[in-house]
Amino acid sequence: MLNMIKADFYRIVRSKAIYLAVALMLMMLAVDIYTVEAGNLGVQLSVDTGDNAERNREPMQTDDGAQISSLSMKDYRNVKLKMPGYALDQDVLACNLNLYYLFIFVAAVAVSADFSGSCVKNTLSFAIDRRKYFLSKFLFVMLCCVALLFVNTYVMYFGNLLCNGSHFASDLGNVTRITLLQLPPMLALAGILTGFAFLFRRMAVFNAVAIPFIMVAQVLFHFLSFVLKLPEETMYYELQVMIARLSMEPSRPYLLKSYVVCGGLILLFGAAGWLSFRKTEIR
Amino acid sequence: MRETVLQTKGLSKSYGSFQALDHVDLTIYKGDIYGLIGRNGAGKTTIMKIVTGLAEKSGGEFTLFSKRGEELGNEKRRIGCLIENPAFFSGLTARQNLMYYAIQKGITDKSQIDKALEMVHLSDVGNKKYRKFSLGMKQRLGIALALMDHPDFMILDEPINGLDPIGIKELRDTFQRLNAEEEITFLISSHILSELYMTANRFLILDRGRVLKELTKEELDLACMRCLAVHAGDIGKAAVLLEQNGIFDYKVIDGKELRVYDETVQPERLNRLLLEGGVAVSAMFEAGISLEEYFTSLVDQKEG
Repeated sequence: MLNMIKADFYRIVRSKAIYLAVALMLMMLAVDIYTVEAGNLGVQLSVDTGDNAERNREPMQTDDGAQISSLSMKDYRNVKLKMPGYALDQDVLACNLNLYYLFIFVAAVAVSADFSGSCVKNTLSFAIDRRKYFLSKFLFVMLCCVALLFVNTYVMYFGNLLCNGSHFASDLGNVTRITLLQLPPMLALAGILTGFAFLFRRMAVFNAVAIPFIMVAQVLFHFLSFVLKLPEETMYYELQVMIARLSMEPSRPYLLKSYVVCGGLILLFGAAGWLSFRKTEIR
Repeated sequence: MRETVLQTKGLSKSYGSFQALDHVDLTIYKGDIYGLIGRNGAGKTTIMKIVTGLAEKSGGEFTLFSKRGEELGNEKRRIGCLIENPAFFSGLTARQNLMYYAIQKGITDKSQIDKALEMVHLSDVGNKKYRKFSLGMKQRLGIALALMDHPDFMILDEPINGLDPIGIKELRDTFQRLNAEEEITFLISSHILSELYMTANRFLILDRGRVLKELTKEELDLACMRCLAVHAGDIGKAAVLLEQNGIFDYKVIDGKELRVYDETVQPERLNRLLLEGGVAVSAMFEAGISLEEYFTSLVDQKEG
């Protein structure tokens, strides 16, 4: 299994897709840092995502009465820099669901590429059995996603510190703590994607399912909780909300419950992927 | 007793109502070059896929190096294979692709990669990406992968697809050399019967998932050799008569046909000899066919 993971690392660093994913991540962080504003690619939620949620950091107008929406990025940055400081890095980490879209690249390169190019048959026919193959791919995707998460955190932290100063930064210990707290939901995202990659196998199908999945799931979650009149607390276990809330000061019970939900998601999607893969004929 | 590399017993595979393999029994011994002959859809690739774990069997069993099921585990590493088309990562070079699989297999001696590339004449392709390879180059890289790590058993599905005549000859020589010098056992399928005939020493003829015949090269030669075939009432008595008249170069096939290979024996003389000896001859004809004709006749017999 270790050899499989080593081989995948050998291959992934020679794949353009992973550099594209890192480039996209850096671009998103650059925009966040430059505009002094955390961007979010998910569905806009009307749920309390933590203790800082009420704070409206986006001014509607500038001091001279101009509409903020009409400003250029540069002017917007200047307006934001004049505002009272806050932990921008912490806010950006609260929007880490964005990384889901980068994790898609990892799962696609690590798993779907094997199936789309039929290279999986080489590995399965003379290297290792299906169980070890599945587990090593699962582990590999998770390792890559964790690596991306930490790169995202520290690039954000140091980039923000350099560009915007300590006025808009928390401390290194805090961002590390938040990243560690967010690990289970991030691993759940990696698990969901690996499960999809084994379920759908072909790259095109995998992409068609994985890309809209998180938004569709969010909308569905909201819809169901509205229709079934579920307590608002239920929404706290939706992944985007979970990632945001874990970036604040989560209570111990919430921490435990959310981790159980994440574990459940990993098991559910992992089992679905394995059941679909374990006896399928490799073409 | 010869060591068995692969043995299947009643191996079956069905896809819904379609029976791709129907109780296939075969035995491959160490040192064999075993040829699988059959039309498209005969079940050649299916056997290979089941043995290598790419497809699940529906029935029967098989042993590989005398191990079965869960025990197979590490024995798989003793196999080198190329099944259906070669498959590699398009953005990697030949060497990088082999390196990827070498790491997977835990091969520490990286010179094996160069040796494998050299063996299939791909050592000079440099940084050319796999996607830019010709069909023949892709095929040769597939064979290089199968050769890497000195396998004990090579499973090759249509290995000469896309190769030019010189490439085919070189490959045939390579297989025969590896078989003779390193005792590598081969299971090879091919549509090109004449090519398979030149390479293999044992054959399994399949059609629609069923075994038509398993035979050695000598038996195949015998089946295809020019001769006088006689269908007679009492084959045993006919054989005695032949020997009494100094004709020893003959074979009894399936207990009902006598084949005389002695070219000096004229049909008229043979007919007279048997009739005078009291053996009723129901048919006598010249036999001796090409490999293709033999294959076709077996298929026709089955369908008939």
